[in-house]
This record gives sequence, C-alpha cells and structure tokens, in this order.
Amino acid sequence: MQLLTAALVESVEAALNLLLKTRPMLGERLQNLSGKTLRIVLLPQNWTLLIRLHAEGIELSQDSDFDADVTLKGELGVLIKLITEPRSVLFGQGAKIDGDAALLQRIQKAMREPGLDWELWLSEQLGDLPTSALTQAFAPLATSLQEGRGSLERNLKSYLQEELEALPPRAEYELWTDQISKARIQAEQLERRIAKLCKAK
Amino acid sequence: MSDDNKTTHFGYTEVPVEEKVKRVADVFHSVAAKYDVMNDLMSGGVHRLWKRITIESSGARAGNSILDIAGGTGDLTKKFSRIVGPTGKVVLADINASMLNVGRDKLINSGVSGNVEYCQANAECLPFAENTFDIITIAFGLRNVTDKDAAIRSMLRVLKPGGKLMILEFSKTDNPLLTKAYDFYSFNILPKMGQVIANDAESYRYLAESIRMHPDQETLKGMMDEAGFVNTRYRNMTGGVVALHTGIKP
Repeated sequence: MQLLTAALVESVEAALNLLLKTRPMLGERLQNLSGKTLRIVLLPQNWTLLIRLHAEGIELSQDSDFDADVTLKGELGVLIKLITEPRSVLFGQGAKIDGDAALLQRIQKAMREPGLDWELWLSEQLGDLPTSALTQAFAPLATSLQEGRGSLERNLKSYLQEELEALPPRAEYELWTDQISKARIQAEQLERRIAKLCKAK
Repeated sequence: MSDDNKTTHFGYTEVPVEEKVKRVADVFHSVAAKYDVMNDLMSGGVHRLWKRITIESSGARAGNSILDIAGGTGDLTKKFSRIVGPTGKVVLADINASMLNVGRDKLINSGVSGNVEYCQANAECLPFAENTFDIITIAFGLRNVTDKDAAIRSMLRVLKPGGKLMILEFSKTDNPLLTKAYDFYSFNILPKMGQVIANDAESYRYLAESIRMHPDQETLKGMMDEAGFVNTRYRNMTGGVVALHTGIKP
C-alpha cells in the first residue's frame, strides 16, 4: 500500500514538474516561494501531503511529522473548490488554515495561470484516450461531491425549517410543564393517602 | 569473511580481501555512465519509490548534516539537499571515483549546489570526526563493502548521539513464488539487459550474486545491534526484495 501511494505521489510530482517546465511564468512565480512548505490534510481520512517549493520545481512528500509553514485542512470537495475556482476566497469555505495564511494566499496567487487548460495539458502528457478516460472517470466524482455537499446543506435547512414549525411556542411549553408538575404532586398526595388507608385497616 | 586465509566473497566467488575492493571498483567504473538508466530498467523504476520512502522515513529537517554513503549518482543527496536547506549540509560519499564524478555532474546540472560536499571515502574508515552527522544513509551500497561490521562501526562513530543510520539494501524475499520469479529474473534476464544496455553482462551478474550473498534482514539487524545501535528495526518493501534497516546511536 505504501509503495502504491509512493508511486502515485511520484507520478503527480513528475507531472507537476513537467508542467512547470512548459510554463516558465508559473515556474518563476513559484521560484519566489522557494524553500516554503505547504501541508494539505484531506478530511475525514487525515491523508496528508507535504508540498515543498524549491528553485527547480515542486517536491511532494508524505512526511507527516514535518512542521510545514502553513497547513490547509479540509474535505475533498472544499479543497477542490479552493484549487479549481480561481476567484474562491480562502476563508469561510470550510477549510481550516494553520500557520502562515499570507503564504497560502501567495501560493494560491502564484498557482493561478490564465489559459491553463488542465485537460489539454493532461492530453499532451498522456495522450488523448487516457486523458479522456481519466477526466470522464473523475468528472462525476467532482460533480457528485459538489452536488452531495449542496444537497446536504439544502436538506439540513429544510429539516430545520420543518422541525421549527412543529415545535410548540415557549408559553405553551411552560404551561404544559406546569400541568405535568401539578399532576405529579397530586399523584404523590394520592399515593400517601392510599398508604395511610392501608395502614388503618 | 574468513579470518584464517583472509578471503571474502565477490558474488559467488571467494577472493582475497584486497582483490574484492578492486573488483567491486571495476564493476562500478564499468557501469557508472549508465547506472541510472540500468537502475530504472532493472527495477522498473521502483528503486525511486524505495528511495522516496527512505527519505520520508528519515525525519530530515532544515539545518541537518547528512552523510549519503555509496551515494552513487546522487538520488538521495538531491532530495536531502532541498530538505536541509542552506543551513544544512549533505555529504555525498562514494568509494568509486567514476560514480562520484557522475553524481557530482548530475547534481550540478540539476541545480543542486551550495550545501552539498563530495568525498571519495571507504565506508569502513570514514574520514570524518566523531559525532558529525544527524543522519547517515547507505542505499544499495553495503553489500559491496568488504568488511560490513567495520563499516557499521565507522558509521556509528561519525553519527551524533541520537542520530539515525538508514540502510536500504536488497534482501531476502519471504514468499517462495516471488523468490523463484526473482531468481529467474536476476540470473537470466538481468545479465542480458546489462549486456544490451551497458555492454557488460558480468557486472550485472555480480550484482545479482552479491544480493544473494548479502546478510538477510535479521542478520543485518543483529550486526547493527552488535555494533552498538539501539532501536534497530527493519521494514520490508516489495515482499522483502528490499529492506530498510534503521538504528539510532545511543
């Protein structure tokens, strides 16, 4: 398993560095951040990936103990949104940021590359057929994640709304609790009387 | 190594101790230029993953001093250099000048410089002061060392207290089927690949034989314990084809 994960990380690292070579401006912007480290923690699995920026490109690592400059923690859907939507803001998206948040903004800014078509880039690396298969395989995943998140939010809202309607007002609730208390006291008094009568017999 | 007549093994052949050093040197002089290509072909690129796991398990941090023994063409040194940064230091050491030259050229060409030093050194008597390094790695090198016990003691000496030794080396597979396939590959396919790619079948036959003569996981762990390392352990990779041994200097 560890070897498979290492293979995946190695492949992604190689592909990213290849991309940087074909995008000199992107490479140059990242070069300014050389020596900085970003950790991504995927929830709920707690899968962690350390991204180290250096003068020649990007290095990925699974070293989970390294103290990164900034840590971005969140669910896949949230992180996908942060990465794929260039206008997305870092805060208030459900992602937790620990460390140098300004650095994260600098990295996000540096990674924005106008006109970068990921599918086209992938097809250049892998060929059209594997790329098409990959994008088709992952597109429903990304869509279903986003749809799932949206539907969860909608369901929660409507559930709360319906439940609120079914709940009694505070005055009605207080009157009901008073009646319950009185009934309990009366029951206790009745219990005591019955006990007295039983003794008298 | 036999004590009485001072011989040792060179692959499956028993040779005088002094001759092994020369013969191993000849092998690596011969394969140096095509070492990386052959490693990729021989392992299907998996050696990169074994090395990646080694680096990730090293716990290397900025400012550390690291010694990469038998560092060859500098795969580990390159990555360590980025981790330790400008405040740290990586020493790429190899007994073989040809390998060291190929490694140095490769690292300089890929922009790695400033915190890397190069040293032609014999692992049995490392030319460094005591307590110098935070981490020592030796990847696919220990099996070529004539006196492995002396090498492990020498590494212990130059490590700082609390420092970590990491030995990445071919080892013994624990699955009989895998062992059969591995043997067939090593003794039939590997030398032929060596012949075609590097025009040198003999060197690659030696590599296969030297792997079989190398101590198994438990024996090597015992050697590390004997030398004085603590918390020694090993982790098998690819069914034991390769094992990563680690030990801490007390």
